[in-house]
Amino acid sequence: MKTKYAPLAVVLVVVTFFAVILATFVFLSSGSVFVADSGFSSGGQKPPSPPFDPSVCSGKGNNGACERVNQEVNLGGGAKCRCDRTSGSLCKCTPLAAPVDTSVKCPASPDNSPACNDKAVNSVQEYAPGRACTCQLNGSACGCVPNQKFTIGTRCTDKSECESGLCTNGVCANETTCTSGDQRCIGEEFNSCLINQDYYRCTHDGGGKCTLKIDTSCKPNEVTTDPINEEGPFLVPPTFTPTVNLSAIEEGIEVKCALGTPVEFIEGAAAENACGTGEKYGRICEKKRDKNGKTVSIEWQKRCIPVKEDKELKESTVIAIGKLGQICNKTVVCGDNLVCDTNDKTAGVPSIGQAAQQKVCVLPKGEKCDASVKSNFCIRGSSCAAEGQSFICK
Amino acid sequence: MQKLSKKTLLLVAGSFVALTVVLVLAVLLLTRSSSGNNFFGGRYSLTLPTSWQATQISDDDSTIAFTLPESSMAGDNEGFIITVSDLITDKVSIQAYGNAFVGELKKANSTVSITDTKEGTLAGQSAVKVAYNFTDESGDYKSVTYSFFYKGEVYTVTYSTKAANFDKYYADFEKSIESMNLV
Repeated sequence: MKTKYAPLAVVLVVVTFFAVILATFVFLSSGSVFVADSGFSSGGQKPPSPPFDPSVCSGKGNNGACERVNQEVNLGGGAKCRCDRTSGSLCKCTPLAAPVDTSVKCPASPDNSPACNDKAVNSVQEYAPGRACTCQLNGSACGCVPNQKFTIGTRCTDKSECESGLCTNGVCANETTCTSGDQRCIGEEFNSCLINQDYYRCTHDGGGKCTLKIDTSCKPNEVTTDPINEEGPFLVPPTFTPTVNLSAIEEGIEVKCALGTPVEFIEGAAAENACGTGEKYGRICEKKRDKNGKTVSIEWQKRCIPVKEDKELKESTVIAIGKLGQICNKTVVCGDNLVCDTNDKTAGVPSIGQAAQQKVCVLPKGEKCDASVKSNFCIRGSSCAAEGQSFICK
Repeated sequence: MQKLSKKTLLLVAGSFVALTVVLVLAVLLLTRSSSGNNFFGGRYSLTLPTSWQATQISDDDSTIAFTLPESSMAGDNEGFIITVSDLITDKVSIQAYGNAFVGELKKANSTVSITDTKEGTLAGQSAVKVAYNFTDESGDYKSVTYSFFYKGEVYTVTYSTKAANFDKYYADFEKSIESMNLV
């Protein structure tokens, strides 16, 4: 009687074991990515179903410190921001009103940071181009505490500006980085081979000073040849087959002009004076978006359009509108209130591949900027500074 | 041989099943955590290599950089970046866009050397791949840019590192973009 259940139990154990193993296999397979057998890569376009926690910030946007929605981040010097969701799992750190009491001012004193002399306590000041600090009262004197931290190799004026807490010879340093000596070694690791100088190594004096010395163990760079025929940069002969069906996604959007209609320039003295070098005033048919980035209409918009010469623009095709911080050129022109200018790298902001293209869409002087973003993308020679209750590129 | 009671047998069987489930769940957790993190950027999702981090560059999700952890050798100009711009025309093919991209790249920077161009698919869309090298004041770089059109926008995915680091992280990058899903 007792033993007649033994085979049943064994069968139960074996079946359960294999069922669990099978379920595991199916579970793992369903979430895996795959590599295409032809072409360079693949993927899918089905709506994803990631394990998306609405309270978590997975993209480290703005100040790199947002981990959860509604989290308050201390920016230093009494300034704070709150993590708000922007889209998906990305978050933005919105500056919170700083407790600035304009009645309490830093006394004009040689002991104070010059930027804070006669300025309100807790106010944000610019102590160097592109660098903001908050005036903090320390006893009877005022210090200017930098609002951002810079990575190793970036110029600094004080150790408080550096993530590493070490400012050696005007450069944020750590214990293994060249901070002085041969300019080509600044920011490089001690004893590393100089990548753009074959057979050279950055040796150091025991401190941060480095010297460039010939070292044949530093291998020359790989030499590559350009396979593109110099007579033309084309991968294949250009084709102009419509590939994007815009109408399907623009339902409900007010359409006042056709995307792709050639840009029209506006003549006249006023129009000529409205734009800077390399730009012409004109009208362009483009998408208008609301503050959330949603397209509300497609209409003519008048603005400065980057162009070297009329002849060049007529011959080239403007394909896309670049957004803040994106690469721009003759085929990708900058959107509203943005200008195409040489990229002025901001410390601590990823600028992957941008050096190859040189120019990005930036904000001109006088335009509103977002001080809570690490890179405000203000045009070269200006920075995002407070003016009243808002911030503009100055 | 001693006979086992029904209760004992069921107890043994139950324990075995419970142990198996616990082991399997442990394996699942370990496997999932080491395979990467799911990233959802509004327009797309992808599996980010473990310990890589995403940084929103502008004030919306149109430009997102994916970089290696700060503790690594790589700097903040190494990793990959995805940009999304509005297409202004529907009369241009992705191949023509690729041609224009190559032309502008070469005009913008005299150090740029194109090493490979290819057509294929990415995230289920027809795409062009352009591989190139360039040099700036901080050294020699190796890059690859994929471009494709989707819903009236042009997506560019650029992986760029110092030449010496290119191969080191390329597999992670490839794995990541293979997991890219468009919304």
